[in-house]
This record gives sequence, structure tokens and C-alpha cells, in this order.
Amino acid sequence: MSEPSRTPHHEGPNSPSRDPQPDDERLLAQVKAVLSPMPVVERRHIAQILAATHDRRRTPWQRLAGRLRDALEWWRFTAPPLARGTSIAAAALTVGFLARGYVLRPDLGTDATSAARVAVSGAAAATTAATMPAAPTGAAVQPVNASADASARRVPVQFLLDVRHVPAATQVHIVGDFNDWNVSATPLTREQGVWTTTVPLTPGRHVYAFVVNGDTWLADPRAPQATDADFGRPGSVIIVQAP
Amino acid sequence: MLTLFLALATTSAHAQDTPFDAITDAPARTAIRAIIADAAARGLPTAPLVTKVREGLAKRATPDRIRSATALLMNRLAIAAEAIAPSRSSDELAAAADALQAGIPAATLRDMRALWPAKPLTVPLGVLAEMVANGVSRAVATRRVRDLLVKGASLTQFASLGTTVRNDIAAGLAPDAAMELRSKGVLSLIEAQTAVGTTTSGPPRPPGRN
Repeated sequence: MSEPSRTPHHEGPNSPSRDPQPDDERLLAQVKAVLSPMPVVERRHIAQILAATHDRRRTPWQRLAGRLRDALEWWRFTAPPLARGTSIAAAALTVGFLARGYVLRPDLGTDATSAARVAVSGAAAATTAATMPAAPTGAAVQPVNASADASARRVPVQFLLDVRHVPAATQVHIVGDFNDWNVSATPLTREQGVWTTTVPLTPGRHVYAFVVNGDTWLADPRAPQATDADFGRPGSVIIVQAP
Repeated sequence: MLTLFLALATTSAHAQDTPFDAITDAPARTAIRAIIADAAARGLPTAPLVTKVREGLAKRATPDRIRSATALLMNRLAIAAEAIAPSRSSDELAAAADALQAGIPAATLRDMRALWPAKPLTVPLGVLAEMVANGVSRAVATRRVRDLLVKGASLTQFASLGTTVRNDIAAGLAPDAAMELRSKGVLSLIEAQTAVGTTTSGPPRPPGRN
């Protein structure tokens, strides 16, 4: 903007004063009056500026909550009631579906307060010592951990096979319903004259056998024999108690 | 969500398809697939059936024998599911199917479910089937297991009973006698525990009286 001229033709013949200084001041005042008012600013721009400055003072969590509140407000005014109800139900189903595996399957978790118990194996049983006497002679007694959910938790059970029963064995595996009858899944290791392994089993009755050198099926000599009406192979039975 | 569901379903189907590929006989393979699909359609657990197929393959049974064993197991699972309803536990149904295979009637399973509506019957059914397989008569084994269910025996006591009876039989005792004696022992233990609990939890007697 060009500066206003101070030439005498601005002074009218009816000017109250001939003093140039007050005229300058008046002109300056007029110019100031023209230039001083702020340009018109829309309200939404003011609101945005205020929100931005206010946003800067908030913590990230407060900002996130604010965003969520804004979104919720927008959703309330734009979505019809039926759509709102459907959206809530879908969200609840999603959360429930995802949480179901963790809430309803306690076996997925760990139990830090599990109590020690004793599993007797080798003679095809896992028992605690207190209730009944006469644990099988020579059975290996091994402390194992058990957890609170009695019906679903697995109980480690040790299986033993004396090397004198299989003197020519170079490798021994255990096979049963607990490992999907996979002949090569669960090898036994030879330690101090015994082939041994420990397998976590669910409570209940299990049928198993030893497979020697990959092809010879052998029932556990220390366990009761299982009647295999379906396929006629030798096998043994173990009943695992709930922890 | 839909993608996750489809991925899980595909993974499950693939996991169950694996053993069928090893069955060389195409008609038997198709028949076994149909049996398992039928079981799934009827709401029965398919895991025991797939395990039976794997067992047959591991034992190098003929495809036709695997098909027959799978079909028989599905029939037993269907009867068991009706008998111990509303349970849908795969382990419990498999144990009930084993009990049926051992000759335990479905009515006995229904009776046991009525006695233990909320507890899993996997261990008691396993012990019952095992006792019968070891030579204990069905009548004695059923009656004694039922008595223990009525008295509220623990799963530990059931499992221990099975172990001791087997040991007694292996030592030369008659199967029925072993079952009777050992179950009486467990029953007396339960009664003693109940009596102790009643005495300790009863109201205090006034002093000076017996």
C-alpha cells in the first residue's frame, strides 16, 4: 500500500487548522483505522487454531481419547440406530472370538502355582502315592508338575524299557494314540541299561507300544496288554490320572 | 475375521488330509473320507477317527481293514455321544467308545453320566473298560465303578484302583475278587474321610456331655 501523500491539496480550504503536524496525525489515524481491523476469519478456522494449540498441551493419550470422542460423536450423528447396534454386536463378536482361545482354553497358559505330584509309570499307570498302596515293583517314580485344570492338563509320564528285553535294539520309539501313531515321532534314549522317554499325556486311557529298530512292535513288558481288535498288533495300556 | 476363519479351516483340513494320502486304495480312501465327513456332519469329533486311520497305517493294516475299523469307531462314537450327552469332549467320547467296545452297554454310560453330570468321565470310563479287558466281569466292574461314582471318588482314586487291581490280577488273584476287594478299600477310605469331615465340621458339643 502506498503511503498517503502529504501534499497541500489534501488540506481543504475549510480546514480548522493550518498546522501541518495535526494534519499528519489525522491522516495517520485514518490510515491506521483502515489498516488496523483484522480480516474476517471464519469461525471454523478459529476453532481449528484453538484446537491445535490446545492439542499441543495434551498428552498423547489425551489426544487419542479426544480423537476417539470425535469419531464417536461423528458416528452417533451419521449412523442410524440399527447400524449402530449391528456395529456394536459385530465388535463384541470379534473381541469374543479372539479372546475365546485364551479364556476358554486354560491349557494354553502356564500355571505358576502348580503343585508337585508324583507319577508312577513304567507299569502303565500314573498315580499319587497317598491313596492306594502297592505301587508296581521297580516302577520309576518321578516328581512332575501338574496344574489346576484337572481334565485338560497333560501329565508327564515316563516310559521305561529294559535293554534286556531288546538286546539287539539300536533304536527304540514309542508309538500310541498320544502321538498320532507316528512311529518316528518319539524316540527313547538309552541310559544306564534302560530305554526311556517322558511323554506328556492327557488324563484317561491310552494305548501304546514300543517299535524296535523301526519295524518290530513290542508291548510294554511291565504294563497290561491291550486287546487290539481292530488291527491285531501288540500293545499296552496306561491310565493317566488327572493331576 | 473371515480370512482368519478360512485360514484356520484350511489348516485344519490340511492337517487331517495328511494320513489319507498314504492310503493307496482309492475306493477305501474315498470311503474313509466319507465316514469322517459324515461324523463331522453329525457333530461328532473327527480327531479319534483320524487317529484310528493313523493307527491302522502305522500298524500296516490293509486299507479295507482301516476303513472297517474307522466305520465301527464312528458308530461307537455316535452311540457314546447320545449316551453321555451333552458332552462333546473328544477324550471323553473316545473313552466312552472304548467302553462300548469292551462290552459296556450304552445304558450304563447313561447311568454314569446321570451320576456325574458335571465331571468328566474319561478316567472312570477308562478304568471300567480296562478292568473288563483284564478279565473282571462286566457286572462286577460296572457295579463297583458305579458305587465309586455315587460316593464321589476322586479321579486319583479311580486311577489307583485300576493300577492295584491289575497288579493283583497279575499276582494271581481272581479278577472279580481283586475288583471287589480293592473297590471296597477305596469306599472305606472315602467313608472314613467323610466321617472325619462330618465330625470336624459339626456343631460343637456342650461341655460336660458325651
